[in-house]
Amino acid sequence: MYVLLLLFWIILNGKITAEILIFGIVLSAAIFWFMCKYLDYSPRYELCVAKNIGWIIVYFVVLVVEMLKSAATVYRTVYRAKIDVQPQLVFFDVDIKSEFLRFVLANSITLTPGTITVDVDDNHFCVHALDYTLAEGIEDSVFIRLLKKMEGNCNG
Amino acid sequence: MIKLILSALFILAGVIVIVTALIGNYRFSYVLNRMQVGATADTMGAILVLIGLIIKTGFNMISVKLFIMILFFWVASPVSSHFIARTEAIANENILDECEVVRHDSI
Repeated sequence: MYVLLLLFWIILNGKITAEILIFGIVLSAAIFWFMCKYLDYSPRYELCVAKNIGWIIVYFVVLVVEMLKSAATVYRTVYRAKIDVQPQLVFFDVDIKSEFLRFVLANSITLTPGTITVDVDDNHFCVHALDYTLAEGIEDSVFIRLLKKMEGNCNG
Repeated sequence: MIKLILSALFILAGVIVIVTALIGNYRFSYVLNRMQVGATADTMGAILVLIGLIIKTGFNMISVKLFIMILFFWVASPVSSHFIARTEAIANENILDECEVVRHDSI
């Protein structure tokens, strides 16, 4: 995370000189300290990320593929002569403990065209789907399986 | 030359996606359905345009900044559409006329 903050600072500056680098090192250290002290962040999370780096890449690829697939479905619906969709509100539970991973799941569901997370209350999800075909199998989707695997890796 | 064609293709695809989202916005009638299509404009559309621009500029500081913009879009856009959806779900008393409710949970 410290390295990422430093990289972000350098990217925003656009070039590397001695003073930018020194400022960056000091500022990233300050922000890192702030995160650890007040935002419940600890180096333990970095170990998790390091363990799961392969799965994170897989997750990104799966996310993009799912987005393209459901985007094709949604745009086909838009250009059909007569619009006949059956919107659904789907309620389901997921047993993911970590709050951050639930946030990732909710964001991924909203990011895929055709489904929007309406409400998240602890582990109860409420999802609106444009058509019933898009909501099929959402309570046991590939995202949930991948996230559970990541969580298992973290704790084990 | 091939870089130019590739980036032009991506930007064109992005523009087509945004136009589709615009048309879809007017073809649907209910808020949540319109939002489903409208939300794709700032995820899929903007991202395709940005990928086109990244290919156009090549690998330097600007393209990395554009990549950070993509990440920002991916984090921020779902949050905004989620808030609109939640407000609609709370405020609309007749939401059950519009959508069918399916429960897989334990409540």
